Parts: sequence; structure tokens; C-alpha cells
Amino acid sequence: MRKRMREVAGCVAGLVFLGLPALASADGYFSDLWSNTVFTGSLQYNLSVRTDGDQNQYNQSNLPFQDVAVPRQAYLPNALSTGALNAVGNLLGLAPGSLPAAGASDFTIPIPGYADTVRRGDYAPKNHLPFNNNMLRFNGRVNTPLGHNLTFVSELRVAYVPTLFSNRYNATAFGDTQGGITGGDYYNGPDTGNVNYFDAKGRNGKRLNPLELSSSNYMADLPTLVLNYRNGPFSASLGNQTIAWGQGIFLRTLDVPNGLDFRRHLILDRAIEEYQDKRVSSPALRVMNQVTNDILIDGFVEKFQPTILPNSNTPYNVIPSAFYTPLDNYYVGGYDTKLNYGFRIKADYGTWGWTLMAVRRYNPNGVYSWGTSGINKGLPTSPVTTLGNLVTTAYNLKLEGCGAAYNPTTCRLFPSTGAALASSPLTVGPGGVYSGKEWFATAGSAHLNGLAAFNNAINEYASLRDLYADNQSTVAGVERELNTFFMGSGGSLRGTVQRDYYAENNFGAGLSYVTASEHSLLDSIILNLEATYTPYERLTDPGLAHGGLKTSEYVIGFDAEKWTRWSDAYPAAYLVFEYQRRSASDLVGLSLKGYRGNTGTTDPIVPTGISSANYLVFAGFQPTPSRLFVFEWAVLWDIQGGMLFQPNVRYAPGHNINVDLFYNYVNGNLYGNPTKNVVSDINNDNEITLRVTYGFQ
Amino acid sequence: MRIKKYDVDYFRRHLMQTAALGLGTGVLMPIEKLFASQGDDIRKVYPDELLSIEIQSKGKIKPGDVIDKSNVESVKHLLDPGIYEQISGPEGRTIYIKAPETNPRNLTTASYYDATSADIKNGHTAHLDANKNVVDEKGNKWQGGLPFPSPKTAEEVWMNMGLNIGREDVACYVIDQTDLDPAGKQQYHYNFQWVEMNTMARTARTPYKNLTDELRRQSVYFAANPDVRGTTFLSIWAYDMRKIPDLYGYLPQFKRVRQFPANQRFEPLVPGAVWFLSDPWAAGDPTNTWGNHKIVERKPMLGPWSSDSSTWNQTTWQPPMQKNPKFFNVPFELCPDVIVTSCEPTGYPRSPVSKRVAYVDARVSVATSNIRYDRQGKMWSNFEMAHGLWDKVGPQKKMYPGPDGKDPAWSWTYVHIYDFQTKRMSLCYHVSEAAGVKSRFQADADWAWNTYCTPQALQILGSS
Repeated sequence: MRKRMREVAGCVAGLVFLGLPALASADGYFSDLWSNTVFTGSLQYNLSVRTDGDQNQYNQSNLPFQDVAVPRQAYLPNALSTGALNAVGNLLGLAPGSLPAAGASDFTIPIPGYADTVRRGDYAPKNHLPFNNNMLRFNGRVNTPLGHNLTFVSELRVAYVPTLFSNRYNATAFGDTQGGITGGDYYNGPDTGNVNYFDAKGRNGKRLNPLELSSSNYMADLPTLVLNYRNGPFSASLGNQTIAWGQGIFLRTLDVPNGLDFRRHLILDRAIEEYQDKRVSSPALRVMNQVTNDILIDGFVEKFQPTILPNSNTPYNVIPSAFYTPLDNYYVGGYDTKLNYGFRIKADYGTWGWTLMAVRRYNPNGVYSWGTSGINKGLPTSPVTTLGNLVTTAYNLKLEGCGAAYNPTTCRLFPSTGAALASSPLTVGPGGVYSGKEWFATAGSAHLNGLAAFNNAINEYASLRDLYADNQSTVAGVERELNTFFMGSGGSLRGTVQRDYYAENNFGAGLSYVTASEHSLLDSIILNLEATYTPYERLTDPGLAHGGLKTSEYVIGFDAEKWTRWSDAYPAAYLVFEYQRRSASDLVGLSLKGYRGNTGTTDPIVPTGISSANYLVFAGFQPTPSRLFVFEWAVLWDIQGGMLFQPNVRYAPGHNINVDLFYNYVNGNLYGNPTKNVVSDINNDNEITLRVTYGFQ
Repeated sequence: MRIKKYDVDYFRRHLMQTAALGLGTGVLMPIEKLFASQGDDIRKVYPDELLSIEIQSKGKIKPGDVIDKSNVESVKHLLDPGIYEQISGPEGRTIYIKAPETNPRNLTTASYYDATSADIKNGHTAHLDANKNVVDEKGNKWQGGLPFPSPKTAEEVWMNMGLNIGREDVACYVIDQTDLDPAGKQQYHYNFQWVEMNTMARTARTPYKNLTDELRRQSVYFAANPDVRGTTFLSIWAYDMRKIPDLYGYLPQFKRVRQFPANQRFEPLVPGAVWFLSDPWAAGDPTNTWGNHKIVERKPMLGPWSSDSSTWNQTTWQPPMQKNPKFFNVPFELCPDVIVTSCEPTGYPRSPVSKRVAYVDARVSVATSNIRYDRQGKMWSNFEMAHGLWDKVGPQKKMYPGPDGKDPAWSWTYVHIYDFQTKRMSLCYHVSEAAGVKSRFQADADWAWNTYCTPQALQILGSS
């Protein structure tokens, strides 16, 4: 209740800010405020219709092996075989160790009678969702000059997904199978009930964005709430704001101050709008000083705000829904009190210019690693013949509280299998991973290393070792062991990962040059070369190890822009070509070491990684005379075989109305191994979007 | 009395001879003499015949008359072909005639007139150097008033127009633009602030911030409509008129200031606009990026050479409309000496424009009409711009002082940009304030610089 009150109070505070000019009913100062205040706003409706038969590959209805029956066999684990011998010895009254030690079974000894065939589609039915995006949006912006040097700017953004046509996934559809999908000690809101489009919360249930209200189908935030001060060549902006750096567009090289919010339309919005609606705003102080006519110094200090990904089972989800929504340690890890800061020097000398920048920041993408689920749900014990019951019986036979004499064969750390699993990243429940093959396929789809992830979970969680889990050195061993676990859980196990954040230093430089040539095609091309180097950064380890993967990275971006006219009748077309090379991570910040894994239902393999990611962009627009129509296009080509192509027709009939009709063609299988390119991550997002915007002022 | 020798065509022939022989401006006396003496009566330079619409129309038209389809033929020879088409064609535009302004000081800003006068008196003269840039008698880059008060060549006329567009060292306008479809229905509406900051060719005679390689910074900030609000462009002109300006822009979707290619100048900046970056003041592009400058003709012509501010809306300064909503109802008057001059976009090989023709008041080198022609030689659009004094605005006859605080402000008043091929119109007027921005006749130079003329300023403007 208190939390709700705080939310309401926050909302009221926001509205008060936005409604400040309403005080203008008074005379004098406030009436001047009113007359000088400018309101702008827009209403927008977005409808994206799927043109792809398959649903999102990370959502319940289309995870790998959805429609493939997979045979499973349970095997005897090392610890359990040894433990069984000891149990026999105990029954015989023999001292421990009196019987000869059994050889390590290494999950190679089948348990007779415990084999089955599983098809995840029997539990997670197909969802034929025709619409990806069905959203009403409102943006309102108020600009209030408070004096000669001060301006107050506030912006309210509201997004609402009507029930009609929206994704109606509900976790309760799994019913009582394996006891259903249950939550635990931490925030699991989006996972246990209705699909939730907007809530983005930390492990403690607190919203990541302090200036946001949200629910399952709406969000409202204040992306701008800033006081601007200007005095001569000096200016300062204090408040919630975004900061965009760099000449390059689409592919971010120097644009490091803010994370991105992918909840509303992932990266599939009208391309030419770039990250307008994506940058995560942050309470910040930004100061700029035009120290000479050519040189600008620009610095900021901001509260660290993380990148936000779409929620599980929403149309643009990018995290396999066999996982719970990641537990975000933003608050419990104290990251909400961390600051990013940096500066840049930007010089323009007409035809050429340069930029230098240095930023100390917490990488907003964060590091995902295995996380303790906090969900106390034991292995199923009914009927008594289930493998879960056998394991539970064996587990209960172990001694609790062995202290220093602990070994997983004879001792247990927890009072029950449920308590053990609560202290592990795995949870009994439907809609998780059902087979070893699916494990690797799921890992491959998320650029993870299934073998390393398996071993890291066991190495880092004594609770799993306590439940007879052992390391494996081969894919086949992992498959056998996992199939045993899944059968013991009565179907599938769901995973829990957490997100932590690490500080890093980004150093960057840029050069720009405008060509001059007698040849019109070569004339007035704006060339930009930008590069950043991050000496010590942490990426998500493909094996989901705690602490992430320590590495260094360089990113080089090059772009060329030009206006060119093809005919007398049509205005000039705008063309931009870009190239970016990244040495350690992909466009969304995942380690390249997780690339080149297996895909779809192919046989499990361990990813071998790629040495660099290379992206090309060709984008532009061609207006018609008077710009009534603008034909736009954007192509993102991952040279490892993926392409996102977005053609758009924008119609501006006047009267403050804009209509956009664009198609997103996504193909991560152009050639080669699809897990070598980033586009395959959104391979099922082919869609056509109609967007109608009405602006008012 | 003057007899046959001074018939209606005599002085027209005289003006043509002036053009042909490359002589200066003035019939009865060189106009420089009038400027030097701070004279206030143009009739000392031009005979009554060139200032009388009655004479020029052979008695058919007098001040106060309305020109429409029924009588336009009687003044066809005094109109540019664009205006004639608008009156005689399906648009059915009308204009009314007022008596001509005879005080040359009222045809430009006071500061520019005074600086021009001082230049003449002090022997501060201009010429074109080897690169066809304006330098003074010592070879220095130009500072002062009109560099060529008595232009003798087309290049000099175009330089006069382009060196200091607004005739102020700092100019800060708000523009109200309505774009109308062929039927005259409003399709788009915009408000934008337009700032010109001359760093050279200043009446202050000192370079601003010592930027001697720049001519001016020109900024446009779109305050409305909501679709474009925040869009801001800064154009940095080099003093060398052979160079295309550098263009920086803040687009709301990019959230940052970026450099943009500036070589394509024949595009509507916003949907619906009929005008191009190249059009305004017949000097949207650096003078020497165009070529083949020619003086086609010199003659008396009708045009909106000096607006009548008493007809404007008291608050907004909007001129009255006429029945056809594409046009303001504005007065035209006779200018005794109009230089009709053309040039071609030789520096823009892919330009859709074949040439432009400007109709320039020889007295102060201000154009009221700039017609561009397409590649087939057909008339494409007419950038009709008027200037005037804010001396008796609206029913209250309020005077708005210019930068010196005492002389009435002088600036552009309205613009018709009409596309003869599509019949679309961009209708603009100099509005007092709109969408949170204000026109300022006394803008502080440093304020204008820091608010509009640096990349940092664009960032603040765009994000506000």
C-alpha cells in the first residue's frame, strides 16, 4: 500500500511539473509563464502485423524443440551411486567406507525404467499471435522559460497496449503441471501471470526507472525533466535527460552515456528516428562550454541507469522464456547510487573536425550470470515411482549439517530438495528446458555456451552439487545429466539469471572531413571515423559465470553521408553508409565468444566464437517534390550472414498528421551459420507496421 | 515643361543604356551623391516620369487603384512575369497601387544607410578581387554598408544582395509560414526563428569575434509545428563566396548536433514548403557558387518595394488577406530603376534549376522578386518578398524602433513563394512572436551568437 502511495505521489509530482504553467491563472509572473510556455504533443497509434509464420523464438510457443519429440533417459549420478552404496552399508551396520567405493558412473549408467520421450509443445501450446505491436502512445512536452537564462523542459511519455489484439500469454495456462510456474523470494512478476509489457523492476520489486509508472499494459515516464541554464558560451542542464554523442548514427561508437530501453518496439521502429525513443534518460548534470568559436567542451555526471530489455513472452522478447525474467541487482547491488561521468572535446573547423572523449561509466548492458532463484519448490514425489521421488528419498537419507565433513554423497546442506533448489539457479516448473538437446539449442539462440553454463552452475552453486550434480566435460555428458535432472523434476527446469553491473572506462576519438571534388558524386561527402577503446570491461560470460567475462574491446565506426540528386523533379536523396567493427561484443553487448553455437534443432555443439563483429548500414531517404511522401530505407547487414531491411513510406498530408508504413524484413539465415550473426536473434520479427501520428501544439 | 524628349519611354531607354554601358545608378544625378549628402528625396536622382504610375501606365492607373484581371494589361510591362501570371491567370490575384516611397533612407535599415553614406563620404569603396570576392580599396575584406551603392555589373548587384542579407549586423526574425494546396487550403503551418549574424561586412566595421574568414552565421530554428519542433540548422558562410557553407543541424530524432552535407540547396526543408534553401532574398547561396551573372534589363517596375505597416494586424504584424487565401492583400508601388539580373547555378551541376532572375531595386540593391526556372526553361517559382518600416504598425500606428532605439525598424515583411507548376503556395510573414520565439529588432549580438549561432546553441535549442 505504501509502495502504491509512493507511485501515486510520484505521478502527482510529475503532473505538477508538467502542469506548472497551469498556475498561470494568477496575474504577473505566472501569467507571463503561461504566455511564454509552449506545449507540444503527439498521439500515435502503432500496429505491427506479423508476416512470419513463426512466433518469437524466445517465447513459450516457439522455443527450440517446440514441436520435436526428444527421447530422454535418466542416468545414475556419481554422488548418488556412491551414496547408495553407503546407504547399503549403513543398513548393514557397516562403518562408512567399509564397502569398496563405486567407480564414478559419470551419468553413464542408465536407470532402468526411467526413459521417456518429451515434446515441449505438449506443455506449451502454440500461440498464433498475429500482431507484434499494438500500441497507443502519447508524448507531451512543455517548455517554460523561467527568465532570460533559465528554461524548464518537461516531457511526459505514455505507452498503452490495449487488450484487443495483444498477446494474451498467461503463465497460468500451464496449469498444475509441475505445480505451475511459481514465484519466490524475488520479483518474478512477469513470469507467473499475464504477459507484462512494461514493468521493469529490480530483484526487490522496485522500478529501475525512478521516474516511471508502469503496469502490465501501460507505462508513463518523464524522459525529460530538466532545467536548462545558459549564460554566454556556458550552459548547464540539470535533471532527467538523455545525452547523445558522436557523429555516427544507427551504429553507436561514441554514443556511450546512456543505455537503451527496448521495451516499446525493440530496434524495429522507424529507422531514421535512430534511438530517439530508446535512450534511457537519467538524472544528470550536463555542462557545455563553447570555449572558442571552434571548440566545445561537454561534460556530464549522471546517475547510472541500466538498459531495459523487453519482458518475457512479449512480442520482442530476446531472452529465452525458459528463464525467469532476470533478477536485476540494480538496487540490492547498490548500483542505483553509482555515477557515470565523462567529457568530450569537440572541434569543428568547417571541412574537418575532431573529437576526444573519456567516460567512466557502469556498462548499462550489465553482466548476466546464474542467480539464486529463491523459489522453494521440491522435486515432485508423487507418484512414488517418479524419479523425483527416488532422488528426494535418497536426498532425505543424507545427513544434514555435516559441517566440515560435508560431502555430497552422504551429507546434505538443505532440509529438502526444495530448499536446495531455492538456493540454486534452477526451479522445477513447466515451460523451462525439457531436454539436453533443448538446453544447447536455447543456449545457442542466446549466444551462450551450454557446456560452460552447465558446469558454471554446478561449480558456483553447492546446492546443485548437493542434489547430485557433477561437472561434465563433454556435450554428451551434459545431455545425459540434464535429461536426468529434467526427468527428476517431472518435466522441465526453469533457469534464473541475475544482472550485475561493472564500471569501465571508455576512451574515444573521432575525425570528420567533408570532401570537395569537381565530380559531383564525390563532392560534399561527410566522412566520419570514430573509435573507442575500453581497456577493462566485463561482458556477460557465455557460460553465465559470476563476474562475467573480463576483456578489452575496441570499436571502430566509419560513416559517409551525402545528399545527391538523381533527377530534376525529385529533391535530393539522403544517403548514409556506415561500417562498424567490434572486437569483443556484438551490437547488443553480448560476447562474441558465445557465437557459432548450435541453432534450432541441430545437434548440440559448443560455440567457438568469432573474432570480431562487423556491421554495415546503408540507409537514406528520397522525398518526393514538396516532401508529401518520403521513401526511406535502412539496411543493417551483419557480414556473417544476417540482414535487417526496413523500407518505409512516410506520408505527410499536412494538418499535423504523419502516416508511416514500413516493413521489417529480418533474415538471420542469409548464409553461413546463423549463430554467427546478431540478426538471427530477431529472426522471427518480420512484420509490417502502420503508424499514424497526430501532433498538436 | 519637359516635352517629347522626355516621353514615357525616354527614361526607360536611358536606363537600358545605363545597363548596356555599365554606368552607375541615377538619372538626374549619381545616387552616391544623394547618399553622401544623406539626402531624403529620391526625386533628385530620378525624374517624376519614373516615379509616376500614371505616366508609366499612360494614365490608366493611379495610386489607390486596384490591379486585377481587368486592367492588368495596362501595367504588364511594369510587372515581372510571375506577378502578371498570378493576376491574369486562374489565381485572380489583385494588388493595389500606392504612391512610391521617395525617401531612400526608408528603403533600408538606418544603420546600413548611414554606413553606406559614410563609406561614400570617406572614399571607402569596394571592388571584386581576382576571386570575385568583395574587397575595399586597400584590398581588405569588406566592412561597412552597401559595397556597391551604384552597381555597374551583375556581379556587383548580386554581391550587394548577398553580402549582408538583412541589412543588419544581427537580425532575428520569427517567420510564420502557411503552405497551401492548389485549392488554397492550408496543409502545413510552421513557425521558425531565422537568425543572421554577420561576422564580416558589418556596419560596425569590425569583425565579430575576429572571424575574418567567415561572412555570417545563419541559423534556423523550427519552433512549430510539433512534427519539426526542435529541428535547428546552422549555416556557416565563408567570406569566400566560392565556398558552399558548412551546415550543422540538430534533428530531434538524433538528439545531437551533427554536420550535414550542404551542397544540395534545392530542397524543401520541411514538408509542403515551396521554397528552397537557395531562394531567400535571391541570395540563399554564396554569390560565386552561381555564374553567368547578367543584367538583362533596367526599367521602372511595380513591386512591393516598401510595405505599408498600417495595414497589418496590430499584434501579429500579419498583412491583410485577400479573397484568394494564397495571397496577402498588399500594395505595390513604382520603383524608378529596377535591375533585372539573371544567373545560373554553375556550381551545382545537378541543380534542377536552369537560372534565376531577380528584380532588384537599383537604389538599395534589394530584390522583391526572384524567379527560378526549371531545366526546361519554364517558370517554376517566384520568391516575392517585401520590405518596409515598422513605423506605423496596425490601427494604433505603433512604431517599433530598430537597433539604434530611435529609427523605426526596417526588415522584410512578407513573402509569397508560389509554384507556377503545382499552384502551391508558401505564405510567410514576419510575425512578432509565435511558438515561444520572438522577433527582435534590437537583438544583442552576443546573445544571438550564444543562443543560435554555435553548435552548442543548437544543442540547447533543439533539446528545449
